Amino acid sequence: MAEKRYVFAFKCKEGEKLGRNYLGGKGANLAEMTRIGVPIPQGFTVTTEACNLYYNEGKKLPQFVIDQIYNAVTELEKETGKTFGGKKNPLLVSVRSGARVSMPGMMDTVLNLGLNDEVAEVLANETGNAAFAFDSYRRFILMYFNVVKGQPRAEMEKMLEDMKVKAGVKLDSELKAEHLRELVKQFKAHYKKVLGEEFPSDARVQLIEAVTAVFRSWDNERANIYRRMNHIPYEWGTAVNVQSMVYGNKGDTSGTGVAFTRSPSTGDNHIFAEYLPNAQGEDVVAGIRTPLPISWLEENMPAVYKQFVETLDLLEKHYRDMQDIEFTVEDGKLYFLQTRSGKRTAAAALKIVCDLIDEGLITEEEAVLRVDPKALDSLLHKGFDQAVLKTKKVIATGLPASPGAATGRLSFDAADAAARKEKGETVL
Amino acid sequence: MVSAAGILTSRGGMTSHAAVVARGMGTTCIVGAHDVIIDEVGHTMKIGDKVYTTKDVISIDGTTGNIYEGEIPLVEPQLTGYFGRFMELADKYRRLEVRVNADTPLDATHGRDFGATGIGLCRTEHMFFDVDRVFFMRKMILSATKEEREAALAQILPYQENDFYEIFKVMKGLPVTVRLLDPPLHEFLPTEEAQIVALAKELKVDVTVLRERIESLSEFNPMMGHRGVRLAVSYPEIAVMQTTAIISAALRAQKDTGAAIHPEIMIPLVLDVKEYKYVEEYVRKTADALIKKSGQKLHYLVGTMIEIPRATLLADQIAKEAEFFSFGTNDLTQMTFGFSRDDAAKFIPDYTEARIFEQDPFQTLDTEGVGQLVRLGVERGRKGNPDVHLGICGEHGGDPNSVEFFDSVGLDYVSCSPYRVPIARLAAAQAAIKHKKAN
Repeated sequence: MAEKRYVFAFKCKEGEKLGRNYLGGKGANLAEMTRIGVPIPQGFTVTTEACNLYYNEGKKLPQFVIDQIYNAVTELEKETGKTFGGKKNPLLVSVRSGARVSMPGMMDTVLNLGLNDEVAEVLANETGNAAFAFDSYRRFILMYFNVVKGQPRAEMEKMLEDMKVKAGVKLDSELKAEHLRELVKQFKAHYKKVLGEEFPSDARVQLIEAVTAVFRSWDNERANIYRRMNHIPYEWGTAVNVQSMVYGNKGDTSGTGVAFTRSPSTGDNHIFAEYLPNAQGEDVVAGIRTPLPISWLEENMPAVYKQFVETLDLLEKHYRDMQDIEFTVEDGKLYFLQTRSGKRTAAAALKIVCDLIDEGLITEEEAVLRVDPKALDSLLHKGFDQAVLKTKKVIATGLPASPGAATGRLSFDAADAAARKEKGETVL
Repeated sequence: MVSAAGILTSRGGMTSHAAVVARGMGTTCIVGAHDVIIDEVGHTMKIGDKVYTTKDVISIDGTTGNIYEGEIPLVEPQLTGYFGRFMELADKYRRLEVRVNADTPLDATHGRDFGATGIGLCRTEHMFFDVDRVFFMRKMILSATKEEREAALAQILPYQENDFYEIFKVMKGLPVTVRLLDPPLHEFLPTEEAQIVALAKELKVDVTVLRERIESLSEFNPMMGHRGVRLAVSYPEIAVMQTTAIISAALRAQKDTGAAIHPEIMIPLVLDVKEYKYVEEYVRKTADALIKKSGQKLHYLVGTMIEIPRATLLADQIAKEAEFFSFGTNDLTQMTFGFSRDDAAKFIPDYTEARIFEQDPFQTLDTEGVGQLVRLGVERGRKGNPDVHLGICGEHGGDPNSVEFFDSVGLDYVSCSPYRVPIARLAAAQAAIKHKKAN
């Protein structure tokens, strides 16, 4: 009997039918986007069943699953015309988690997987951009160290800061190839010092380790807390998406951005997007650099912008909901990296479902089912004036135990609070 | 906590006492802000290197957990516009009626504003804790004879009547379910020596005698002790006084507002139909006499809470006499699991950690176990009396997952705290739509 399949290419027709329970939210989306013709970098999904298998086997990935992953890599090599860990036209991939429902911040992502000393040189030669190749490489080592091996980022980040001081530059993107090469050496030395082993140069070893790390992160403390709070069963597991990389940091005709098809704070029906030329996605998400308004893309690359707007419309009509999208432009070619129903404020959620009814995209019943009842809570309480709030800095944070907002003088005991309230003072 | 516009603690979790109380009151609250070092003695608070005193203004956002320095202007919630339109949509699709748990006119007002179509639980014990009244309450509890007790109760009556009157006025003819006194009497008595001495002086009794009397009322397990309907069996005069207050208030409110008032008198913690009938008779006799005397017409209901497993098993017998059931799922959960809510708070986190419980059964109804009893109570109740009106008034009434279950077993209404009313309305609509789709 043939082995059960745990790995499905995005374009694979059988995989498409499995849906989000097996492919996870992201994986199902990637398969669906491929089907409707959205330009996405190709790849494959390792199913949630493989995650459960990993835990049932005592936190070990069985060999037949590993073999299926290797076969999928071979298919992807054919598809892209690139070679994984190859000396010519190397294939690099991203590895991301994807549970049935979005669990933001809980799971881990590894980019640029497949790089090693040799491949980095090849990439530098082929793109004629050594700074880009070694920038990708040093990012990859840091992520691998942090996400796959669970080590703190701080030391390596300090090395980066020191290097910038040494090079006399302010921004990461101003570092030259020689600085980045040196940084790679330092990172690898630090890796060996902390872990007592060399940074793995075999792309296939990197891949299996990364997939395993995603499964492992399903059971980390933060994920467990989030799951319990949101009633997500442990048995659901997470899928893993392996996708060929496209690069937004290949120069001025490349870039990356995020977009909401409607405003996530008010629900107003206009595109809400930001774009960062010559950068990778994490620069935008992590807020390392300040992105530009999307009008930059419209002015500088009108054809790409037109395709972008058209695809956004296609996606929203297809999913019949406000979408949160990550996209990249590589050498003037547009790729959509991810789309999902966008997180939104409760007020935006209500406006959006009402508008979608009016636009004929959803029925009243669907609208009622769309809104999380618990989200209504935040609308029943007083809130801060958003305009003023934007000018204020957060001095500390705690757990949001009871919604609403309050402003007032401090009081430290009940009698004092009562006495001051009598006098008309507002106390906390 | 009552006086504060917002609450901030450096320790504790989402289910800590401060958090639970704050949510109940609708007061914004942040807990477990570890970076905040609070000096309770020195009345200062430190964040990083900066010290904040009672003169400093800060702002807290209980929705995000963020703390800000200085004042930020507040904006009122918008219950119209898209919110209004969306909630109307929800109401169009839901089958369950949504009521509010409200003990005060303020709670009742909030509940109405948020769309409740009645009060499903009005607890009366809070009304006795007011400084002016607790003395009479204590006097009543410590009375040696029925005559003394009735005299003390007569002094409480006007207060109670007025409380109910105000609530009836707010609810403008919507049904109001009032629960007769539920907690054990010792909860109203002082525990500290100084307070006992002061009370002895006020009551003009010997301190030793008073101490002995207080001692004699103490219980090993108050949750399963002399409370609920059991109080009314021992001291029917309490139920008589409360019925008098409810019916008189309803008659007065009816006269003043011109709207037909619908009081529903609820006898808590019933475990047997004979027990129910024993108290019901006092209630009906008192109510009917008052109505007759007034010359007005007043439609009132008498019913019970179903919160002891035995009552769910015998629901057919009880429903023959009771006009409504309200499942008290807090107590039903306690009695079914065999642990008290307060004590269980200490070990439930261990159970969720060990994945024995996926959820805290006091937050989301245990449909597997407790749910069976609710289902049984509904089925047998309807068998005994097809017209019996069925609802639920525990914390679960505002929990979306639990509401879905209550819809599926065919309850008529859920009742929850004011700020959860819109949540329950939407959850009820979603449950009805899912239910329809499944069939």
